[in-house]
Amino acid sequence: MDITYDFEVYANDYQNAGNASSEIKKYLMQIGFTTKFIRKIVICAYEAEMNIVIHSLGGKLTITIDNKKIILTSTDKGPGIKDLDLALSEGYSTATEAVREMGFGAGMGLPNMKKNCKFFEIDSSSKGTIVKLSWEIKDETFS
Amino acid sequence: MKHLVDIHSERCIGCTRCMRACPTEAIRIINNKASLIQDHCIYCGNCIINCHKSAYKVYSDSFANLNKYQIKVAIVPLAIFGMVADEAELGGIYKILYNYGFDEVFDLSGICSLLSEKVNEYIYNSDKTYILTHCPTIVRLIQLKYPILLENLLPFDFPFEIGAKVIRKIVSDKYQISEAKIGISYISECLSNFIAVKEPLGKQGSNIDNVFLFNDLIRNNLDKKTGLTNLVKSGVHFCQTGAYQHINKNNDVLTVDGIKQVDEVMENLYLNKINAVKLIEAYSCVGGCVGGNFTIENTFVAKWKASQLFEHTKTNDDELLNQYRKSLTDNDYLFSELVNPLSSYQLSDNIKQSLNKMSKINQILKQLPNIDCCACGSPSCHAFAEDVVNKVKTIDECHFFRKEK
Repeated sequence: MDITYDFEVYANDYQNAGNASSEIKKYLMQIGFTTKFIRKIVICAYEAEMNIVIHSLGGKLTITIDNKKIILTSTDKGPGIKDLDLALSEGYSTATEAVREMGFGAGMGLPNMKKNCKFFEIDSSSKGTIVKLSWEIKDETFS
Repeated sequence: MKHLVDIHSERCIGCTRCMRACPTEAIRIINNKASLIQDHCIYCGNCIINCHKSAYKVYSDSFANLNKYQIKVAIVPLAIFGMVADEAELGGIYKILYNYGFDEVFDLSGICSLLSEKVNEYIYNSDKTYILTHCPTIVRLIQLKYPILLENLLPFDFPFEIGAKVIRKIVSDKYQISEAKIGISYISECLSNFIAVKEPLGKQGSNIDNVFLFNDLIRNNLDKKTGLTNLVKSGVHFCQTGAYQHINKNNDVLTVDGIKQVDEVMENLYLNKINAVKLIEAYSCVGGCVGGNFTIENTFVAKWKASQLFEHTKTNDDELLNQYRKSLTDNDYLFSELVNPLSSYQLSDNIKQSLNKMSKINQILKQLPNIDCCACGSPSCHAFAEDVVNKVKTIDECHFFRKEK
């Protein structure tokens, strides 16, 4: 059996940014994973959520959980990442000055996500970007 | 165990105000009366201050308990500094307590002043962001919602506990009697500290013998202006938010008050979004301790009065500080046990069962209006779905579900 949660994330919605990852944290705690495992997932969810808010035309975050794995998928409506290799390197950012002034866009989003998950896939075109992250559930990830 | 916080069922009208004000979803309305889920409660006291029917009751200790002690000591809370504009008025408060039969009265200014030296020494020993442990509700919030941040908690005990340890030694010396014959009472300004005496955190047993509620004992200080106090000027600011910001000139202290704001800041720390901050000075009550649930003065008037008291106090009482310093060992400042995580939100200790429950919750949630109206007596539609799965409520209790049927 698996459980899926969908979260709509709007472009430029800084007011509610972080709500989806906060909900995800709550659900993962209810299921009962260990705190360290949860933090990795929540940090990724937050980065993915922020990427949609900052860089995309809007999209959604989906998390699917079963007793073997957790899959987090971020899907947006474009405009896509021009240079994927650059986007995956630490400190590279295309965020505007205004966004950086708010404390976002440090160029750590994707690298941070890659670091905190087990499997990482990214696919981007002008129609949109899909990032898929997953984690394996083992005995020691459940408390 | 007897519940320390209870609800007058004849006063409670089941209005949902307390439930909606609760930061941890620890209240439900069952059979039209508020009911507390103790495991989720962090004792912030928001329910008490949001109740317009005075339906919440807190069981403080009986004065008769004091008779068994040879020497009775009262510790007044930090919040007292928001009620008095100068030392003479503070002396008036001391006098009220002497009239109740206490032999000695102490406030916590000196303790907080010494504790702040320890804190400032400690936080620069690593590159962590530390969380101040003045407020027990903040510690409970972290145990419940951010267990991974327990490693960011300072190891220091609550000021009133440190105070009780040293005051017991000083009084024992002064009267030449054994420590066991001294009864120490804390006059608590808030639910948070009150419960921390009754259900100790970071230790086996509290150093306080009895605890009373501030507004039960001290209602006015208008007519009695007299007496000596043990006020220490440099400790006055600790009754409100920003004290550490005030003494720490490095601009690396983040101050936050009000439990919901604290929750957001902890979320930031959890996401590694806070760096270059050495100390998070967090209080559950708006304004800090002067905003405690059992204080009488308006929080912002109290903050102003505390500044007045600071201005009107001439110098530090160095003699008193030295006496404290001599009697306090390094261990006296510290929790004696680790503060453990609470896993009260966990649905089951078996992953398949947990997932099963989550999936049922989702199925129920799909049949609900998702407008979080609270009329069912749960704080949100999601919480209601959880309650249905946990068999605390039945789905018929949702007004919309009933109507559509």
